[in-house]
Amino acid sequence: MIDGLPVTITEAATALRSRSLTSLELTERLLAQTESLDATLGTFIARFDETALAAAAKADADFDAGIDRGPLQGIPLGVKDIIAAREGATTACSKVLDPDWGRGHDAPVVARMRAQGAVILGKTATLEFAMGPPDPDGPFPLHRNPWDLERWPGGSSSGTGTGVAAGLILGGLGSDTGGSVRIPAALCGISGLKPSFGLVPKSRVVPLAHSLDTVGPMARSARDCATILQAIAGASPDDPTSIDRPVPDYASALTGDASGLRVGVERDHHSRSAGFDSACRERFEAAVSALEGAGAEIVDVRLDGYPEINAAALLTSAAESFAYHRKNLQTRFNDYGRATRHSLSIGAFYGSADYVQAQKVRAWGLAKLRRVLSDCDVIVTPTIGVPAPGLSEDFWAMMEWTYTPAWNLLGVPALSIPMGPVDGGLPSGLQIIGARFDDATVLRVADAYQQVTEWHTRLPPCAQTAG
Amino acid sequence: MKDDPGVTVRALLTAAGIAPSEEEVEKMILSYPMLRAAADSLYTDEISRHLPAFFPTDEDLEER
Repeated sequence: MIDGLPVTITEAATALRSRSLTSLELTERLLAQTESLDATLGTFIARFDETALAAAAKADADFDAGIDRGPLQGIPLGVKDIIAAREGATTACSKVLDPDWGRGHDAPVVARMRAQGAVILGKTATLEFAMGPPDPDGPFPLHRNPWDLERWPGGSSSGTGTGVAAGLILGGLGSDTGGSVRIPAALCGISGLKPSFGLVPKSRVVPLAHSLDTVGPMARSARDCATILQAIAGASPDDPTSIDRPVPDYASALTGDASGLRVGVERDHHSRSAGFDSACRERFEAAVSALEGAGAEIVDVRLDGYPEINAAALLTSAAESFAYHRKNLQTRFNDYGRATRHSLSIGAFYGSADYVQAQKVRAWGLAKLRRVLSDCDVIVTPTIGVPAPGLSEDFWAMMEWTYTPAWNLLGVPALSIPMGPVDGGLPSGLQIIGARFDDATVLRVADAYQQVTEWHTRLPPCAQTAG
Repeated sequence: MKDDPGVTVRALLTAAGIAPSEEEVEKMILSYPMLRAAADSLYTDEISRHLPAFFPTDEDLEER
């Protein structure tokens, strides 16, 4: 709770339905929290205060009339500013994106949340084109970690991450191409899911790498992520990469325990690496023990080929993002931020054979993953092996310890949840990976962990003193 | 033939039609050997036997 307000979608949904809280009250209080903290954190690119208050009032009127459109009714949410929302422009935090891109339209994921009566508070900050390190010289606000304002919150879904952590929104959407939901989730101490590729449509979402991009929920808990996922999942006719298959009931999969599930622990390529932060290692081992306490059977596993899968993921991302941006890089190179144009230019270093070979790694890696998943239901790793870096530190140094891109190449679900503080009280993340389209089991394991731990309920100091 | 990163990076950037500043080019030259080595590591016989999967395949789809 922040000043008596619920901080989770689940808590708020209960309060709204009992009418002990109205959506209007909740939205007004979150807007006040935003007034106090947004200038410091850089959470929002655009705020939709007027339309959000109108949506909140509508949600309340519906509740009073006995109309319940779904779990997100009356819930204030944020949308990463590469996803179109009809209230305003989409910027991708860049001077390069066409100002009219997506204007006046909702992406399917936003429309689906709105259909349940969700309150869209605004567009949350992103790294430029969801790509690379923040540019302090750029025209868009610098993003700061709510746990330590001189540290980076992670990205590229930085705004949704900081917004949830600091209590400016109860949840929201990010995108994840190589870790952009999971990295801010880990560094901001919240939960964030990269769903299975093809589960959630990504039409009217600015692409980064078309065979890796996903749109995913970010919220304080796995249970809340499941609620958002339930709303946004399902094929859309305007996204040919979205797979037409029945969407499971994610809420009913959350049994509250991990009994009967086998959790594979992959240490060889992660916490056993030389230089891995010792505090992160301790938290990871404690998390494994907690999962065992939640009923899981723990199995040691090793994913052979992990380094090659990771390398192929980064190559694929570089090549596909370069292809999308090539024309603008040729004609508007200096309109991109320095770090973004450096990251995008790397795609020019690869040949066509390199790209094809990386797609062979995708098939090879999927075969290896299938073998590992024959011995377990999910795999767990740390999300990142170091604490949040300082704003002036080298971003790429952190990426060396980031264990996220491989799962994008393989198209499988991967969720990061808080696993406890490391040095300086900074959050750390536990990553849970499952088989493709088995997002339900990933969420179930995470929810079971969060039934026996409290790390996901921690609030940064700035959130507790604001307002 | 030995790969000179300075020559290679400049040629690739020219071929791509993009023109970073000299300072930015120098940074890219420094990163190129690592990037190239990572790409070269993918050319193993075991990997090459597989067909490319341009999108994540459905082969691992199972009813759960």
